[in-house]
Amino acid sequence: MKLLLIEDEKELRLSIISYLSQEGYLCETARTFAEAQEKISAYDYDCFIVDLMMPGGNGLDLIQEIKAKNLKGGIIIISARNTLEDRIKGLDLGSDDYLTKPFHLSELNARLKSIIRRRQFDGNKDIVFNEIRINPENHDVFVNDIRVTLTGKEFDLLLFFISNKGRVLPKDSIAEHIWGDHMDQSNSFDFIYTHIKNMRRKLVDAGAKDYLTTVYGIGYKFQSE
Amino acid sequence: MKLIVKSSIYYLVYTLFIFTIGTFLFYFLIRNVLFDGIDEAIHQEKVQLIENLKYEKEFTELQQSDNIEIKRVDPDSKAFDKYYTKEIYSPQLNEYVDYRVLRSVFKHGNDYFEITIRQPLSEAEAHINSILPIEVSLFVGLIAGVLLIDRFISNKIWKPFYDLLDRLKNYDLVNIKIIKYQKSNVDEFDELSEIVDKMTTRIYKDFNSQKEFNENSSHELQTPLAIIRNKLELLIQSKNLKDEDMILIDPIFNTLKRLTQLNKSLILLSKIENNQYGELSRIDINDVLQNLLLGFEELINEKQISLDVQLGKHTIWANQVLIEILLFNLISNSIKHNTEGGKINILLQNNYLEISNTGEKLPMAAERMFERFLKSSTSETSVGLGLSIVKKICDLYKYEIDYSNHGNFHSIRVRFNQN
Repeated sequence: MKLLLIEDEKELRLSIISYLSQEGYLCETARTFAEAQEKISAYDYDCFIVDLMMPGGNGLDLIQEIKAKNLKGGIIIISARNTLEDRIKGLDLGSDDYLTKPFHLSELNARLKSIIRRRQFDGNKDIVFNEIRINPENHDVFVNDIRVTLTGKEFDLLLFFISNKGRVLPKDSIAEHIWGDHMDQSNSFDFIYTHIKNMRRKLVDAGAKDYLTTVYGIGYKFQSE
Repeated sequence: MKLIVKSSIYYLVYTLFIFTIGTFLFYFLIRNVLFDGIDEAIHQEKVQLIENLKYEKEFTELQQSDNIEIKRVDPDSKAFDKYYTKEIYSPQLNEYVDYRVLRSVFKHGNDYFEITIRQPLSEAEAHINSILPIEVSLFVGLIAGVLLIDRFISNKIWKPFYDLLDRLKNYDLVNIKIIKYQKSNVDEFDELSEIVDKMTTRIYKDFNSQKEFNENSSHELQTPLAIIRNKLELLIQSKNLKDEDMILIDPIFNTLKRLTQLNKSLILLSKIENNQYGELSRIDINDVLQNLLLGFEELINEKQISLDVQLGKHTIWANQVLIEILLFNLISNSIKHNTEGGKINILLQNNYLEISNTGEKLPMAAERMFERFLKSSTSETSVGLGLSIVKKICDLYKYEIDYSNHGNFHSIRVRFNQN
């Protein structure tokens, strides 16, 4: 999988590359509009991560170019501006998702995976994690081919955990993924706990191993060890 | 008191003073002039008479006259002339009449005679007495004139001033922005209008650059916040971190979240101020409320709050995002500040929405509750901008919002504008 990250801020670029390359992605970067144009015309990418404000031009124009060239890669916009117009315009131009800075790397990772899944397999490819199998299209979860009924939020949680398997997920990234960013954190942490507890119990009851560990003070980690 | 009335009063007091003194002076002056004339006349008459008498032996015939009296006196009597005014009874008029009298002593042969000549003053007095009414009517005329001119001045000459005053009274930065210079034919008002123009232009510019600064600085904060958050996420992946390290990192995440939310609220506020939510649509409040309540279900159950919802139908013409934020914040507040096992009543009726909830006493004065950064002590994670955002949105659409308190019930009522 090859990604093009178009972002002028060095430290953000480094963080994103660091997080995503561990997922096995090959990350290339562009710092300016011109550099991005060059790479877009020269190589193929599975996904473009585009900052809207960059030296030398506007990210929206780049998206237009990507679409005009009929490139197959998906597009995620990352922007410091959270205006409805930008969002609508970006999605209208054909980008797949829009993330407002500051975002969590785990969130970017989960969205990226979902876009690639949708684009390459029409979403019909099951996600398999040892004995757990998820069909993201139908929201179905199977443990050893036995169907487990999860609530909507429990399903979202499981998918988020598996997308970020092996990573320590801070509580607020989980809360934001489930409720968006306007929920009050003091309340949402209690709910995460309840939902996670229920999800965990249902999976274990169905015969799955308990892959979830609590990371003291910070959050959770989903891994097969 | 109007400036023009005030200055007129000073003028009138001064005029009254001058008129009073002037009237007295004039009165005595005229009186002296008239009396001098009369004195001169009776003096001439006396000289003529004495001249004539030199050729007479006896004065009996002359003594018949009303106005002349001659009698023999002691030789000791002083021979100088004396003029004076005297009231004498007049049988014809049946009243006392003022006379000007000259008494003089003259020598005839070896005898001394005293001669008294008098002349009625009625004519001169009539002259003098006519002065006062003339002066008084002049004064009344002057006052009337001054008042009329005042009226004219305030209606006509001061008009540009009062116009400007009216425009200043209605001045606000949203609708009027700049009070433009308007020419009048008075230099001072022109100058004032020019200054007001310059001043409001500067205020508007400052206001705009302040707004821009607020928005830009909030936007500029987003990227550093993103860097910190992402570096932290990478940091916690490290295998070398011990539990006590994690305990230190957790509050950094929480604080960062708070900072992010604060910044988002500030951006939202400045976006509302900059009118960046211009796109309007017809919104069914009932729908928005029901969707929001669905999202809040967990929170409400968690706190074991009983919910009483009575939703009528009401549609408004507004920006969807802002209305969702408005209602979200109101419901969120009613849960956040509620007590365990409390109540929330939501009533949508006619053109108003009332959300009431049980809760502790307000930690602040009710009229201050919409101010920025005014937090209740119970919820330390809230940023304190929720209600000021609500207020901003209400102000934008000219919705009336007020708070009332009945027992332990707090109610916020939003009256939607008919539009």
